[in-house]
Amino acid sequence: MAGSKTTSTSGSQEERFLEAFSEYNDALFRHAALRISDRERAIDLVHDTFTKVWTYIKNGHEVEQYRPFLYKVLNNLIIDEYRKQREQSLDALLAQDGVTEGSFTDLVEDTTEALAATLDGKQAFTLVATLPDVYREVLLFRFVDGLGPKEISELVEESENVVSVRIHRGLKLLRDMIEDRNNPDKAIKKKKK
Amino acid sequence: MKRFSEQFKKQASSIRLSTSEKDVLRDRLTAYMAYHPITTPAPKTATPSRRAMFTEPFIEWAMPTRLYRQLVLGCFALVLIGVPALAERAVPGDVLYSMKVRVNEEVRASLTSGGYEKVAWETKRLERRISEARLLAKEGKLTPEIEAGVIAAVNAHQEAAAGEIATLRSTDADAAALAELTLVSVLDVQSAALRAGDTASTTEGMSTVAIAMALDEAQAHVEQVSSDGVSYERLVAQLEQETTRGRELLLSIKDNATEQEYTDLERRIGDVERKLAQGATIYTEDAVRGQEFLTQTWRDMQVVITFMTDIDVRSSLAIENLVPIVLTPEEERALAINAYNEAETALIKIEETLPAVEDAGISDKVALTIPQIKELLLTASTSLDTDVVVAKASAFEAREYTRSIMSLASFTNPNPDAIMMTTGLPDASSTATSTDGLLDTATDTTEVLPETQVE
Repeated sequence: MAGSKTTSTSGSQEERFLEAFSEYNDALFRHAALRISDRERAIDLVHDTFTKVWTYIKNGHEVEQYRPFLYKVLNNLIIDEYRKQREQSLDALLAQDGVTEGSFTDLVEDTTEALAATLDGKQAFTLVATLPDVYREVLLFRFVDGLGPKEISELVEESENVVSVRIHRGLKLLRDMIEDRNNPDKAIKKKKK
Repeated sequence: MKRFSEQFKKQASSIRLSTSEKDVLRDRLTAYMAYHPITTPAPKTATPSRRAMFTEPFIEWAMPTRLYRQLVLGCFALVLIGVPALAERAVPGDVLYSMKVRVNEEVRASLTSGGYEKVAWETKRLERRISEARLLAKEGKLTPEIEAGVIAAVNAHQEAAAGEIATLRSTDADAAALAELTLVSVLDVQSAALRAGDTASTTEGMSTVAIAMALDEAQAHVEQVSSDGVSYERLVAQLEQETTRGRELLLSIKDNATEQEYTDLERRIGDVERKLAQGATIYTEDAVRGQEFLTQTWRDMQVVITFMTDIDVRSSLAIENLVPIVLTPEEERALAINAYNEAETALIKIEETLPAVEDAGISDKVALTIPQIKELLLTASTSLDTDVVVAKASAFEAREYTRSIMSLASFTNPNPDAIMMTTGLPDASSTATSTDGLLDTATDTTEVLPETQVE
């Protein structure tokens, strides 16, 4: 996907790399900041992402497409960051929430579309930081970075099916949270149930 | 969905790096790039089409630089290390033999510093030629042409060594004399090994007598021009070095040599070390004799070293023939005691048997010898603690007399009735110890009692 040794180049390696920096630094920073909720640390992660990619190039490799490769490196660094902070692992989060990946066979694209159509983007954005990272990750890739399920599946190393289910469930969680915020009484009743 | 996505993205777009943050980040990154520049050129990206590849007169093959470098290094390593290493095993007639003789050995010769080392290397080269010839002879591949080549090479190395010795003599006469002694020892051993190997493989191998003769001539030539002796101090110093070297060599051949060979060689090095100490004692009493003694010790050590470095020599020759064992004082004492015991037991038997001997002539001669034997035994017993050499000589002489008497027909087959009446002694052989059996073979003799003594 990302690295290749035999692809064509336009301009020198340095030029292409700096172009990629200019083009993607904001997007990567945004993604990192939303994932880890720490601006300074997000800047460091972006820096680390680019230095790692440069080292990769320096070692004789060539990057065919910078965007997915940069996202992949950044995503790995964010996962490392989580591990360093000794946060609960992704598996533990899933287990704690009682969430199973399930199957996408019962979901269709228009269901997600319909679900998204009912949500207020502004409110959803303020609540996304409170989501478990497995959902926050895919939602940010999908709606902030504009990546498709297939690209996201390659980045998070899961199947497209799993990614789609996570997006759907993340949206559902956001919807519930928005509803709870807008209708506190209903939320209390739901909790009582 | 679109509306949600747009709203979501719009909110997110407010999160961005400030210009100053971007500048700092860019500066950090360019600094990192400057410190970690790309050292290898970018890989070729233009891949010629299959058609183009086969229509062009020369096919271009893009090899990665790292692989190319490894290949070049590999080729260099092969040429500089692999081929010379292979050449070391070559024998006359092999493709790589010229490389062995004209490149490997010449390079090594040019790396030797000092006249003594140069002579040592020429001597070593001479040994290598002989080893090659011996190997070819064993395999039946020693043609007259190769044999002539070996003889020519032997002469050339001997002359080169002699030339170096002559040069060395002007600056370091002792070193020249030592180098000469070494060369003579090596020639001597190799010649003996060639002759021994020649007689051992007459059916399968080919004769190497011509080469052995060439070695003899070379040895005679070296001995003819040799004149100077080596100073005592230099001999002692060099011998100490050589014994150390000998110990190291011994350790290195431990896995290749048989247990017997290892024991023999270890014993010989120990002997040289003892001789070194003995030489110092002799030198204080008689300087000339001490020097001669140590010179012979040096030659012995060179023979021992040749035995250790040349497996063919080890298999062809018995080291005992060239460097006999030197007994320790304890061993001398043990031998003296054994000889004494044997002689004493035999004497009792002789005295008991004597009355039954019918031949008057023999009876008289033996009766005259008995006091002499008794006197020798007395000398042996009294000098055992003071002078073991005298004790051993006396005991051995007494034993020789008794053995000679016991070998006479009258004593080997005397009147059985008379003996039964006079003796109840055990057989003398049952009193012999294992040490006696081990060490006495060299001194054992079947000589009869000299007539003069009997009379």
